[in-house]
Amino acid sequence: MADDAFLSVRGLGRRFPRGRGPERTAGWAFRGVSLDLAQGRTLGLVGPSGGGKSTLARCLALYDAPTCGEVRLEQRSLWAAGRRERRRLRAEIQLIFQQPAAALNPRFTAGQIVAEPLLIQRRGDAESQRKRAAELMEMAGLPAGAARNRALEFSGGERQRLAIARALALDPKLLILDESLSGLDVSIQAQIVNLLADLQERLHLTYILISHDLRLVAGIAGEIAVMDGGSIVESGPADELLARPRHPCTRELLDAALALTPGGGP
Amino acid sequence: MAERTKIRSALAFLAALHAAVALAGFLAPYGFADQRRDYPYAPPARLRFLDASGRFHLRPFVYGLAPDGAGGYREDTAGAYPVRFLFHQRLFGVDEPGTIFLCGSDGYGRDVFSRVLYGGQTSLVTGLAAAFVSLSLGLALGIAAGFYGGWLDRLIMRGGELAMALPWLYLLLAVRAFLPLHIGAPEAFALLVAIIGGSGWVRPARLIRGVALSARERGYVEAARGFGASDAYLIRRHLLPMTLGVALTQATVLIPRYVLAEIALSFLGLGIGEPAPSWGNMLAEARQYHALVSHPWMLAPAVAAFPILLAYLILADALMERQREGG
Amino acid sequence: MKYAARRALHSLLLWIALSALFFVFADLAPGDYFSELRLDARVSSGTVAAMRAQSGAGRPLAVRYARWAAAAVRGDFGHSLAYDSPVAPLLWPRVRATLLLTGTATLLAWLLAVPLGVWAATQRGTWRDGVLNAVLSLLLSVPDLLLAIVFLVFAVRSGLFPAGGMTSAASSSMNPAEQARDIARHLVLPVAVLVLGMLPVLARHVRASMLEVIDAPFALAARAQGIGRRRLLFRHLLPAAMNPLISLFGVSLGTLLSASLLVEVVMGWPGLGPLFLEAIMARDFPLAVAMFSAAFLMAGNLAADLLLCYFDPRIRTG
Repeated sequence: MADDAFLSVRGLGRRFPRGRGPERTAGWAFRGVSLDLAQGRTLGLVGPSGGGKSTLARCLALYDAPTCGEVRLEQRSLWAAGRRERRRLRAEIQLIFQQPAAALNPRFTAGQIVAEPLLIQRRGDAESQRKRAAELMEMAGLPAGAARNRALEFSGGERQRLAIARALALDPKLLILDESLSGLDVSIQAQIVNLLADLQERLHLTYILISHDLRLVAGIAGEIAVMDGGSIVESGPADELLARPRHPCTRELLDAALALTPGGGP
Repeated sequence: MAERTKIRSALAFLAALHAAVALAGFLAPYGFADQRRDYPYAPPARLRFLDASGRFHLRPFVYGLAPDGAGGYREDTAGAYPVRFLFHQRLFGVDEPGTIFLCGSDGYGRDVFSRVLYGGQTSLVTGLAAAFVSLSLGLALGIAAGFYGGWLDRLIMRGGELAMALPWLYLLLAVRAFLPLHIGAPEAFALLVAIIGGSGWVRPARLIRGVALSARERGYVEAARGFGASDAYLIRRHLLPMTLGVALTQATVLIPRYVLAEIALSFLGLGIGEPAPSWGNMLAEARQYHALVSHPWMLAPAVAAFPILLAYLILADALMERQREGG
Repeated sequence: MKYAARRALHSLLLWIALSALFFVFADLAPGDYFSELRLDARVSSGTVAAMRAQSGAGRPLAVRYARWAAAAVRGDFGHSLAYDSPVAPLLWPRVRATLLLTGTATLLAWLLAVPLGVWAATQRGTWRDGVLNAVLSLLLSVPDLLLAIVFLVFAVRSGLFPAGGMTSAASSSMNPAEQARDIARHLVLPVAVLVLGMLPVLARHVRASMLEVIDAPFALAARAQGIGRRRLLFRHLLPAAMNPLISLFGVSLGTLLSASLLVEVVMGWPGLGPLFLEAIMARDFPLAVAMFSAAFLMAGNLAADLLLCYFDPRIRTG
């Protein structure tokens, strides 16, 4: 493992708040998680629900503080940083939530939603923020005239595009997508996957794609880590891992994915 | 749709009543302190269109009043005073020495109708201002409790539970008891607003806490936090707009209740003092009920409060119904 | 029972806090009983100074409070300055009178409100429900004060009921049965005012909480089994609708005492209200704090909590 990796995670763990959490993990949401990721790559994080994926994502994106361990982004330690430094780091890592619809304030217009991060971080004046919002919406493949519409008027796929446009507002380097593609039609899923690939190329983005669906992740991610019971049970390059799954959990996920793929099942 | 019509008509009706009270200086024929010592407890004036000889007058007129020898009055047909409109910068009035007491006069010979209009200013402004105080407190405490949670939440909510179980009128009197008995009208007003408003924050705070609690879990609040938003930003941009509906509905519940509280406190002699009128201190005269039995028009301020309370009640019901339907 | 003990402890702590606050504020407040007294030309300044010293007003605040609280726990609420008499004998008849008035009114109001509310819920959407709702709204908008005064005028004019007070002048020469009838006659009007004030609030709440349960799955299931109307109402719907109503009962005690204060003052009912008002006007501090404590303890949500605990097993264990 290289020390000059873009993202490096070492021995990261987080306990549940006192008195909660499943017994089998002894009160830990996840523990002992270490991984490395190079810039411009995509890591797929898969595993059954309740495996600690979302909590890990929240720790990586500076939402929740880990109980132990360290996260470094380009050699800068995330959780050891001071307040001002952390505010800057926060802009470089963006998390897109499980349900994009709930993540958009129904009272805001699309333009306001996309420009909100700029407003919060006080970047530019109102005029430049509006311009940047229009730019971002175009980048995410939304029609130019949509800026005045309210969030409720958009379809599921468009809402996902809005969430992506908003996440890009602060020029992040790392984008964490937590089940962001689940719950969409297959054709729309494909469109969003294309958009993500396109953006990765243009902006040199790094992705962590979280899903319970190994099949979905396999198409996009170069590397895959399988998480179960609060720790990473198996990881490696995607093609290798899919060809020779070692851990029973990985096999189970693979079977489930094959059963769902048209023509792949018995 | 029915709710919408109800809300609109109640609002229009309330606006008209409030405007009438606000324009007391123009609509009332007399000032609130104008005394006609020679006409105490005069009965309500009768507007007439037909004179003694049965002739019709387009312009209404009133007869003068003369003592009937039994402590009351009879109309003196010798002197007729036509009602003059836009008279001395007021909407209407009659020439001296005639009088036009539409709702009779009180023990000092002051016009009850005029005083009801002027007194409404005190009572309604007290209600509005106290509701503003309660809602501000309720918003601040409710948002603090719901948004921050933890011990702060427990402290505020436990305090609220206790405050709700207290007999509020006893509490108001107790607080009022610590202050000097005789204070000026502005101080009395400020005090009244603070006491009444400070006692009613619990219900709005509870409801607003509920909204804030659910807001904290919303994805967009989480997302904004992820962009580095401060608590102040989250509260201002996301939470406050969400609580607005609840706050407005609560205002329509609180205002009439506080108008009543002002009436009760001033009635007990602990509100605004004479000569400034308020509905409460006007009713205080009715405590001498033997006077009231022969001068029922002294109840006019309580009767005036009734349509306002009813309109607020209808408005509040309709708003709550709409909120329940709209989710 | 643990729950009840905890709530009782809460009530006790709150009472200590409130009475201590009362003491501190009274200490800070400008003017006391003696300064009001000094304005009276008939009392010499020497007498006032002697009285002040005798009442212990010169001692430090903490000492005065500690002595007062210790005595209060034994049921001795101190000495009224204006009446020059211990507070307790002044207090108890007043508490009894207020309890008689509010207790009767509460009982009657609930006895009327529950059937009215249930009936309105079963008639939901019909013109009968609409008419009842309109009448209740009208009643809700009539200030209690207006009702009290109008009833009093009615009593004076018609002579059907005594005009205020709790007993007739000749009461002391009556036998017990006549005395009771006399008090009952005096009770009618103040109780009527309080009932009319409470009824719309209660009936609207009963109706709302009945509507909540009337279409609940368990009620539909019971109905599908062909259960009788009466049995459905008494065994299923009412118990389920009861919970929110019982906590309403606790909260409404405070409001009830407030409404009762006004009615007592207007109708001359010798309850806590008029004496409290008098004590405040005269700055008779020991009397005022005792009255306040009594009112507070009566309204304290202890009773409601005990009831809730009895009805809701979830709280009993928690």
